[in-house]
Amino acid sequence: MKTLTALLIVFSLSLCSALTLNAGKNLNFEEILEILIDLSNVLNIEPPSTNTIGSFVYIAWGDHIVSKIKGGDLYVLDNEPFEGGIPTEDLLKKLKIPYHTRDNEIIVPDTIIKSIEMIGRSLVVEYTGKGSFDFEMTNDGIVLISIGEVFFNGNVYGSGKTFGNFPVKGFKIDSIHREKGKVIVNFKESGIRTIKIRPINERIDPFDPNLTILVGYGDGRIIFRNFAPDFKGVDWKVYSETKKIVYELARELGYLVEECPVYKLPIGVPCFIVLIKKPDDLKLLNEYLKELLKE
Amino acid sequence: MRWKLLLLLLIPIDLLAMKLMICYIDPVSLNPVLKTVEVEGDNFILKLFDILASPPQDLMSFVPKGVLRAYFIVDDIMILDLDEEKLKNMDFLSERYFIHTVLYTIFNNLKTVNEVYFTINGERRRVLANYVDIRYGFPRRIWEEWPVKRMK
Repeated sequence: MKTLTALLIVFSLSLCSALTLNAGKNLNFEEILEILIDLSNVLNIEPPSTNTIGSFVYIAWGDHIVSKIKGGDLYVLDNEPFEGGIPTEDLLKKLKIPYHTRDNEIIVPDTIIKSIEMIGRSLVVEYTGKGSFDFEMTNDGIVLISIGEVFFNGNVYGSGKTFGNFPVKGFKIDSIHREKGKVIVNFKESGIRTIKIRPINERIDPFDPNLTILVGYGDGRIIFRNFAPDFKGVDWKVYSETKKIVYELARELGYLVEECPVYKLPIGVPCFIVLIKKPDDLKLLNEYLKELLKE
Repeated sequence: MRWKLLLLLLIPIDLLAMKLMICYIDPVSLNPVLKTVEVEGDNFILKLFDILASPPQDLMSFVPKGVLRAYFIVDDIMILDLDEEKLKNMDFLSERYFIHTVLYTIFNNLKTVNEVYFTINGERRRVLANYVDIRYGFPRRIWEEWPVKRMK
């Protein structure tokens, strides 16, 4: 029991990295415990616990139980018996852990990608584990490259392999914000910005380098997106730039300003909605925007 | 002596009562109108939503009756779980003003809450009904004040 506790402490303190296991090996009790501790780090879940009941010693890990009789050679994994230890692949399959084989070795990823999503003008990657991936800009967009063993969409990607490609032509990386389990990449346009006025029912392309204004009829107000605490400050720059333009325009037109996260206003993109009071206001809006471009 | 006893008896009753600042809307100008309401007993968040949904005769509210299914507070974050059925007929203005009145009232009554998240029928959703993005938190810094302003 002392050995198990020591193992628990040592492995809890160790950094998680890709697990490399022998393909044909039968794992004993201590080795199974060691693997489950490492997997807990990668999956970011509760580590396994061990206990003894009478002559039985067992490991509990989530819904799974591995047990054996002290001094015996029969192992039971979730009611399935194994003589002389549990084969590595059987253990991983039974626990539904992704892996791939390379040169007679089983490699368990150190990073599991939960989602990759383009939110407004930001690429948001959510993961568990070490976060062994990086970003590279190409002529066509941004690619995600594995720098360890990354599991994504049913495949494991070894170091140097690309596993995601997003077209963001004409943009470059502005900042990369990393926190535990999440990376946010922000882009900025490399071209000169112009202003586009579109009807309110149109969709804003987050990678259109223009400042886009959606116009509809209403009670004379301008609606723009607030910053969100989830973005840890990376959306503040666009928020303050947009706010400045919106406030000046509202002063010119005598309009109300309203902060609201309207879904059709993409995050991290300078854009807003103008609800004009009367058709003449559209002329004023155009004139003001022409002045703004001259500045 | 009797007066002192009566005074002593009144103190705990007064401590149990809580003064809430409730935000209703002027139907003509759409400006916020604040009313102070005294609430007694526990479960005052549910009571707050009931009061929000029952405006005085000359005012209006964008908060439907029974819209709050549950609420949770974790550290300085509040999660409000709403009933989809009660939100489904909201238009662009109703959705925005529902968010504004609820948040403005919450942030002005619960000083320890700094972020509010919305869930619908117990699930994370993209939008409240059709228009307002509820994927991310709503910060105190914006909704502690009324988020609609007239520029001078």
